[in-house]
Parts: sequence; structure tokens; C-alpha cells
Amino acid sequence: MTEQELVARAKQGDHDAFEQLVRNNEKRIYNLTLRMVGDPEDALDLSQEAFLNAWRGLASFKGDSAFSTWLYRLASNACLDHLRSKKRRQEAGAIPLSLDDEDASPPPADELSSPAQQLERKERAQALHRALDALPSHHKQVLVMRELSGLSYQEISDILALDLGTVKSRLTRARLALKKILLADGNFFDGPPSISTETKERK
Amino acid sequence: MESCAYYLELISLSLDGQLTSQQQDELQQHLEQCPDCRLLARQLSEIHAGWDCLEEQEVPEGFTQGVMDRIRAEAAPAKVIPFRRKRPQLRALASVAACALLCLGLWRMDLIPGARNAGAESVAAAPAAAPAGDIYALADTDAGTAAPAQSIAEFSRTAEQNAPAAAANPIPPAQSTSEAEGDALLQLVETELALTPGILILVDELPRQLQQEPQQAFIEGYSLLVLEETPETALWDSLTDMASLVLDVGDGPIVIALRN
Repeated sequence: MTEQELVARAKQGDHDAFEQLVRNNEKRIYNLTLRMVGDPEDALDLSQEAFLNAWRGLASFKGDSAFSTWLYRLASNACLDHLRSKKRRQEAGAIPLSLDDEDASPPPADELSSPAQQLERKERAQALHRALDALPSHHKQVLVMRELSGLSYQEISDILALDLGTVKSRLTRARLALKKILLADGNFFDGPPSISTETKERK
Repeated sequence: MESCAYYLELISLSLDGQLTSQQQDELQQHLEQCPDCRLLARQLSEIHAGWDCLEEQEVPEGFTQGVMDRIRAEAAPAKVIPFRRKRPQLRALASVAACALLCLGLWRMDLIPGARNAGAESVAAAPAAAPAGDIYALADTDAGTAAPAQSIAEFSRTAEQNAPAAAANPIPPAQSTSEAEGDALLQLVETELALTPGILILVDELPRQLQQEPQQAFIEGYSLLVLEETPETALWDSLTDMASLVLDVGDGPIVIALRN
């Protein structure tokens, strides 16, 4: 059954059809929220809330965008709200900053990469995770959508209701901001000496 | 000549494979001449490749089930008795029917202080109020077969005598349907009235026939009414028509909760 058929049925109250929609989208939505908010439990709650809101709002879903696009928007907005309120609580000293990726499931054992490479991957993952946490929400949003969810510019444009040009420039700035944080972090770029030499030689 | 800011965006686009061939050429030419942008391109490229280190996580077990459970619990108010019946009846299987009667008699006689007389009356009154024995009909009631009135009255007298034995045979609880408000309301009713309803009906207004009835309790947003007698068909139909929720709990009286 196509997504449209499932949605049509779900709009009629068909629980099974909606359940299929949940299964089809759960992984992407969960990973989106996970990378946006960092904490797996929060991500779980926010993801479930997104689906619940989708169910509750089905009557008003017109179908002029894809269901999954709409779902992304619900999830993404929920994340932004969560981050805003979390920030307020952090500033008030109520929540410690969350840290690394260790709670997440470990990467699959990769026979092709050496232990050193696996360690490097893990370090990079943690550095990225820290950097994501430090990024402002609107940058984090486009980066997660593009780099992790693999959404196209057009999809991002639809979800965030931004025009294509804005998506492109926001992505550019987000990538630059991320680079700046990662450079400062020091654990991501272990580049060969030639890079630092080049830096010194900059005009 | 474009500034590096222009090429920065081209670099970003290139990471996503979004450059036209003309733009690719432009960028290539610029990078050959600009070490800053060359460095930037390398760094951004490295980061872009590094996202791969963040593994896509599996969704925790039971995610979908959790969502669907909540959806089903919040489902649009509906009559939740799975099969529509003319009048409330004991949902006892034929084989436990005797136990059911015994227990019902027990419940009415012994377990609820002060209910003794009311119970006895309604057992006797039921056949009078409606075609014989409907409320305590056994097994296949849709076909209208029912124990004759006299045997019910006899049964309840026997029940009085056999009180202790019956306690060992509790009736399996009828399947209760979960609706968030209904569950909460059920708990309130049990606490407030110190009884478990057989059927809990939630309405926003009372059917005409009940509007003069005194309401027996008031709890957090609801008024409660306990029906002492089997409702007549017309009343029962009105109730189920108007109900936003009907919870079939098991044995016990019909409790109507009127939302304030």
C-alpha cells in the first residue's frame, strides 16, 4: 500500500494503517530527534509525541505535502521546543550538559578497520556529538536533516518552509560553524602536519 | 571576480553533489588559486565524511506498540462494549453461570453493607420489571432463553446459605476496555462509592427517564447515579445512545457518571 493509501485509511480511523505509517517512519524520526536533542530518552518521548500529534492532527492534514514531510516537521518543531526549554533550564542550572555517544548502540564490528581506526571513528563520533550539542538549533536542524537523515534540499525546504536558496546558505553557514567548533575541540581533525603548515603560511 | 563567500557556498553544494558542471569548473579554478578555500574545502569534506561515524540508531523495542497503545486509549469516544446488547446481562459462560449467580447473590447479600435489602428486592424485582430473568440470564441470552423467575429467587436464597463456598470461585473479570478517562473514572467510582460497577456509563446529559433521579455522589467533575434495577429497553437504548463511554467491568450495578 502506498503512503497515500495508508494515510487515507488512517484518516478514516484505521489504526492498522496508521501503525504501518509509524513503522515506516519510526527509524528516521527517532534518529532525527536523537541527533537534535542528544538524550535517547528525550528522543523517544519526542518521537512518540510526534506520531501522536500526527494521529490527532490527521483530520487537518490535507495531503498537499507528503505525510513523512509533515511528520518531520512535527518532530523537528517538537525538538526545537524541547531545546528551547532545555536551554532555559540549563541556564538556570537545572540540567547538566549532556555528553557523549556512549549510551548509543556501538558501531557494528567492522572487520575491515583496525582497532586504531575504530577508535578514531569513536572519537570522531563523540567530537561530532559534542559539536552538535554546541550548535544553535537552526544550524543543528539543517545539518541533521541533510547529513544524518539524508533529506534533499527540496525536502528540507518543504519541511522547514524555507525557500531553496535559504536552505543552501543556511547549510553553508551551519557547516562553517560546525567546522569552527570542531577545530576548537581538537579531537576531530588530526590532520597531517601539512595542514598546520599551510595555516601558518596563510596570507 | 567572486569573493570567497561565493565559493564557500559552492564548496558546500559540492559536498551534496549539487554543482552544475559549470559551477564545478568555476570552483576548481578558484581552489587552484586560493589556499584558504582549499583548506576549507578539505576540512569541510573531512567533516562531511565524518558524519558516517554517527551510526543510525535502532529504534528501541516496543516503540510502535507504545504509540499505538496510546492512540487506542485516546480513540474517539465510542461505545466500547464489543457487542451491542439489549440489556445488561451477566457475561458468564454457561459453565460458570451457577457460580456467577451464587457470587452475585453473595455480593448483593453480604459484601456490601446495607445492600442486602436492596439486593434482595432487585433480584425479585428484576423479573417483574422486564421479561423474566434478563439481567441474570445465562449463556445464550440473545436468543431470549432465560431461567424462569422463580428459580432465580430460589437461587438467591440458596446463595445466602452457601455463602462461604462461593468465595472460592471468583468470576473471571470481564474484559474491561481501556479509555484513559474511563479508567480514571472507574477508580474514582470505586473509591467514592466503595463498589465496583458492573457497567460504567459516561454521559454528558441524562436520558429523560433519569432526570428526576437523585444523584448519589459527586466526584471531581461528575455526578454519579447507581441504577438499582435493570433498566428497561428504552432507557438502556437511550443510555447507550448518549454515552460517550461504556465500560463493561463485570458484575455489579450499573453506574452512570454524568459529566458536569
